[in-house]
Amino acid sequence: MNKRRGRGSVAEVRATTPGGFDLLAPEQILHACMILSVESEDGLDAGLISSIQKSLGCDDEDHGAALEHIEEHRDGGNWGGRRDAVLKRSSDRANEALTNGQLPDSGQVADGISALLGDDDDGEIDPFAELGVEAGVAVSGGASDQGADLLAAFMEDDEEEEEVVDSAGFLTDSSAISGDPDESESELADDLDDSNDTDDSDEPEDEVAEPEPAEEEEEVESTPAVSPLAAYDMLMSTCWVDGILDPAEAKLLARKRDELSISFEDHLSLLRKMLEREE
Amino acid sequence: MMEEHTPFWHALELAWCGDGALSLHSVRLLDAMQQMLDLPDSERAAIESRFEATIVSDLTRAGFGCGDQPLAALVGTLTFLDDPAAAEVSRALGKSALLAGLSKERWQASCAWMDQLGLSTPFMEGVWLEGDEAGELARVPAILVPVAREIGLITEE
Repeated sequence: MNKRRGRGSVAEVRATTPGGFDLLAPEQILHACMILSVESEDGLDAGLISSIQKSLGCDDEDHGAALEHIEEHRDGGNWGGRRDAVLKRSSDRANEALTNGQLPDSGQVADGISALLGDDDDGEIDPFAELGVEAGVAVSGGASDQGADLLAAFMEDDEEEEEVVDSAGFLTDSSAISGDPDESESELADDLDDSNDTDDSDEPEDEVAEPEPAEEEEEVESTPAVSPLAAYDMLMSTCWVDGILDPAEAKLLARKRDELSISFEDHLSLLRKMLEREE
Repeated sequence: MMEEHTPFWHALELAWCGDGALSLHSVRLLDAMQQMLDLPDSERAAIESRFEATIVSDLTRAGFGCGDQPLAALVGTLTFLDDPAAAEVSRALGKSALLAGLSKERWQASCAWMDQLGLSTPFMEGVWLEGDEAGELARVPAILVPVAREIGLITEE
């Protein structure tokens, strides 16, 4: 990770190409691939990681630092309760590296990474999970009371991810221990900066970056709430988009009604409104 | 549970079971049928949610909701409810059921069907020979064919 040292916090690690595109730092990509490999069914593939390391031009120190961080925070695969966020960030980084050419798009390395990415994909997309609507929190007729919580779930996904996994793809201290969003500095960044960074000019940059969470909170407050009924309405409209409901869609809607505590009568009401819109 | 012996359950069977798919046209027809039957949302919810759980979950889609055609035909037969002779025909149906032999199960099933049509009272009067003496059942209206089949008055298609 020598390339990052002396540049300030990991939030500013991404390099900018002459064309203006931000690129991930090689050690970020290596770290992401190592996480995916460690969490794969077969465990860490040393051969594949070595190949990736060579492709990225990372040295053994980068490899060692990433491995050390993984061992410290892996928590038996639980990642302090943030396994999904860690794996998603790692997958995103690996995909991005493949897309922008930082990793080869064919050959052993590409095949190996594709296999790792495949391990993390169960092929099922839960639209409510994508929307961030939490199960079992809605009560029919009292959906508005739940709106704030659901809004928070809807809006904070990305922020939460930012908090629990730093921009280097590392689990932050706050997410693993306290969950306090104000303490979202990367431990790895701290480690690296504390031990290696001799350039004090980076510190003001970190201080300047601190007000950002407050601005994000204001943005969240100004966004309209998504109630369980509204989210269910969206899902139902999606199921009916072709004018046909099939048994699988009916089953999905029934499951979501159950999870969101939406009554069948509410379902009928929403259905009628949808039919009115269709006319 | 008697939901499966109601006209609305029968309508759901027609809508869904032809090809394992429900069309928007069928949904509109089901809504129209609910209104014609004065069926409360709570009662429809009980029937439809049970139908989805027990029937739809085992279906496999094989088309684009062709059930709307027979469903439309069924909804069309509900005009019988506006016929001034509806009560008399129901009473005659009850008497015929009694003469044919009415088991407890057939009684419950036929009552569930007639109740949703709002014709359970004359039907029961016919069965128990109450009130005005019921006449002979000259014909079976289309909406009563399923119940006539249930109580054994009609044995052939």
